[in-house]
Amino acid sequence: MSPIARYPGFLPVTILCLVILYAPLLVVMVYSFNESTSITRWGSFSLVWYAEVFSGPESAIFKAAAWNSLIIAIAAATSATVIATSAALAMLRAGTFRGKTASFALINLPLMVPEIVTAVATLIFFSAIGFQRGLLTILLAHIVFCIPFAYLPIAARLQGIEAHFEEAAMDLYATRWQALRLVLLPLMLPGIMAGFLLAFIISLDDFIITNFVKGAGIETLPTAIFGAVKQGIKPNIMAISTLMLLVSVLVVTASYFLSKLGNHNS
Amino acid sequence: MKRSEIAVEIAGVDKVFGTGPGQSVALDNISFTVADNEFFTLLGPSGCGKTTLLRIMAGFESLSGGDVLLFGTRLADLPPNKRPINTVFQNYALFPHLSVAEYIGCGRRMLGQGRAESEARVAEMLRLVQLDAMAGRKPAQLSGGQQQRVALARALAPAPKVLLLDEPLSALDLKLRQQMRIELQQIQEETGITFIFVTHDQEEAVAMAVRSAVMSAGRRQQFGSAEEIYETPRNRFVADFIGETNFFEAAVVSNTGAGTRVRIAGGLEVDAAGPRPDGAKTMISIRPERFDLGVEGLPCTVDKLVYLGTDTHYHVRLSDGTPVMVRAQNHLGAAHAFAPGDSAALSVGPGAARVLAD
Ligand SMILES: Nc1ncnc2c1ncn2[C@@H]1O[C@H](COP(=O)(O)OP(=O)(O)OP(=O)(O)O)[C@@H](O)[C@H]1O
Ligand SMILES: [Mg+2]
Repeated sequence: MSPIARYPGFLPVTILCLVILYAPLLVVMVYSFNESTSITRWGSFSLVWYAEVFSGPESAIFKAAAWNSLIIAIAAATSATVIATSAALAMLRAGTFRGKTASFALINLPLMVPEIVTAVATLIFFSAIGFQRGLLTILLAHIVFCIPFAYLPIAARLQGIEAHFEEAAMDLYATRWQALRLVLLPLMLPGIMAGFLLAFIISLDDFIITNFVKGAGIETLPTAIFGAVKQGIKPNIMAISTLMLLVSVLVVTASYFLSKLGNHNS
Repeated sequence: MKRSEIAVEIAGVDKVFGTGPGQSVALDNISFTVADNEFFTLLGPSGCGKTTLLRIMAGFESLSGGDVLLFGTRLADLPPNKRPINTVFQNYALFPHLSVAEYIGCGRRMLGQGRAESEARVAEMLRLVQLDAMAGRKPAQLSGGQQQRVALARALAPAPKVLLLDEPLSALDLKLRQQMRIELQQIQEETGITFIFVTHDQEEAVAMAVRSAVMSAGRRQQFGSAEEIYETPRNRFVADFIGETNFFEAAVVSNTGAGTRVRIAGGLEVDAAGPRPDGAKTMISIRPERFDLGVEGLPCTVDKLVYLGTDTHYHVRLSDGTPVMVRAQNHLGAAHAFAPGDSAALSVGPGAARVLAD
């Protein structure tokens, strides 16, 4: 047994945490395969609720919401990744410049600001400048809060790449731009991919900010689910939740292995 | 030397890192010239500014003062990718994502050369560094010595006017290092490229170079042929850093046109070459191999001896206690002429003593 397991109370506390964290998820996953309409009594195994998700009366709403979520997540993660990559290059490769510390704080501050504050502030901002609420307002808000999440793995990766690689490229007659394109970006790629996937997931499951800045009649998956739950919980919600969980787990796992992969060959 | 024969001229180069109270002077008024087609070494202890000077030549570091000229042209305004100079970096800087062949071809491709032409050059370089079989490998699949050769090949491939080598052999084991020294010299002769080779190993510098510059603490200490630097060290640092030597406080006996005659510990009087001392006292250096240990001369006692195969090191003590190091060649039958504790006598041949400027 490892030394940490010898601390008194280690096992009960661990089990308690695991149960609180994962038992609800397990219940949702198991009951999504429940044949009965009750969300607490087990009938028999069935895929009816998955069928309901794709072809039931609410399927149109969920499909539209899923498309919105996907489009916003891809667009927001792509934009945030481009911005975060540029920011990381400026912070770590451009030497010292005025306002560097302030920039660093500003990039990471959104991680610390309570989300509800950002949501209210963003809503007020869009109303103040008279910006019509709709898909575009969701996208803009998502890009902004995704930047720090994309920045962290990208900056971590870039920090591990020594400056002599770019110098070696310039020594071989590469311009600054060629050194970036042919040497630095390929070496940064695992970090960039990890940053993109993290931003993608963060955007995909955001509820609070989206709920504030979305226009009337426009839903993303989280807001659509919330709307459906308000009418009463049906097992088809569990099926959707299980599907989203699956996507999240796949993407986060991919992100993890990508960042691992990169660390090996340098 | 004619001006056209000078490949690189380092003219009063200064380099200061930082500003204000935290600043540090890395290079202080360094000047020397490197001839075209020369194998030149830059020698100095760790931290003396060798890498900084190379980085200034390559364009990765700006000048704080002075100038660097390449065949008479100022380099200061050219970015690194516009200088016909290549570097073999101290840590090789191989790109983990490129194969050996891709990496070696990199420079030529950047210069806008066609695929076929650059492939021919890559093949030629691979043959030169004997890595034909490794063309498709990634750096992680190469040994240290092989990585070193790749770094050399990729720097040679674009046929630069000057090649800068920053302690390229320091990570290799002794056998491989000795072999690579010879190979480097051959490659330099074959290609005719001017090599500026940085090392902190004085033996390596003396073995490889035609001419060297010796640096310490950001200053040039001496500049000349290996023989000049060894035989006529300008100051105490150079005499100490290049080879082994004995230092003596000496009293000036006479200082006439013929030379300086000095008296050292134990009353030994010798003629010393070098700069004329100003005062009545000076510092002189006598190399261990310039002493003769025999039965005639200054009386001394043998403290210790170290047998080194080709020769023997004797640590002896003069009658007043001054320690002296003597190196005697082991001729057939001459070995171990003295044992620890024996009394012996020291004598010095003409031209052995050297007055040091500071
Ligand atoms: N970027 C920098 N900022 C501040 N000081 C520096 C910088 N680069 C080098 N120095 C200082 O300049 C001096 C010379 O460093 P340099 O790397 O040129 O030494 P070196 O002769 O190459 O040593 P070594 O044999 O250990 O490689 C050192 O005192 C070092 O601390
Ligand atoms: Mg160095």
